[in-house]
Amino acid sequence: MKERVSYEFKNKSTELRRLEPLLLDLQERFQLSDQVVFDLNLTLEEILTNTIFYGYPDKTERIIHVHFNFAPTEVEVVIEDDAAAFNPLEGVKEPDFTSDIFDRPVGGLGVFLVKKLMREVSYRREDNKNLLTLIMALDCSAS
Amino acid sequence: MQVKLEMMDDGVAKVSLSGRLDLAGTEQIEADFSKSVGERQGPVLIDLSEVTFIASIGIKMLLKNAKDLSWKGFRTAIFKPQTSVEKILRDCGIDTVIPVHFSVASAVEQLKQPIARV
Repeated sequence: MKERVSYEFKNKSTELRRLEPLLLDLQERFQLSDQVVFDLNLTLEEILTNTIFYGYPDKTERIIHVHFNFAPTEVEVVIEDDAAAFNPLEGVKEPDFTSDIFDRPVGGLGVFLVKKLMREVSYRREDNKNLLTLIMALDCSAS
Repeated sequence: MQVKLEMMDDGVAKVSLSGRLDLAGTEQIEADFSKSVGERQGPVLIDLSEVTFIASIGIKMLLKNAKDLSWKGFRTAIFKPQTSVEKILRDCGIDTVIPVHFSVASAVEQLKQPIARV
């Protein structure tokens, strides 16, 4: 039996400030561990940041839907938006662990971290919407 | 989010951060952090013991400033990150270019070593 909780976010960066209090509410309600809350916070921060900054070139106000489906041992998070078609999983590279500080790239870690923290991540485009589905074990992080 | 700078006896600057290194927190301190770290002429120990959250934007800020400092021949180290923050830094391999220390003495010893591009 899954319990569903949904939230709406406007496509504004200030909306990201709602993530922490919202996740603390969910922590209390579903008895989530601190690590699960941290990983969900990081995942949503990375995905929503990408969508808000790059998904709406016309800058009109839109709504991004985030649905949590809580089961006893896992949570499924579905992020649904009508932004430009974008599969964040395409072209994700492993971080460079070998180069020294001089040659180390400074960016490109966000989606890598999402994939690292979640047990499953999948994307589909449906009815002109991006649907990103994330599944995370509730006992501990996937990694 | 706050940045606090103090000079240690051995010429190492200790830059202590407190709060959340998410988008809002990083944007709030980015300029002060660059002045305290990237624009410095000496090694820097970044104390993350009071940082409760880090996202890729925060990691980017740490790495960019450590790189700026390294081009001037100085090292950067991270001090005492909380467990969840440390895990993220290691997942991204940041610890391989900005070493993580839990003792000031070991950090200072490493920070005093010269750095040069091979």
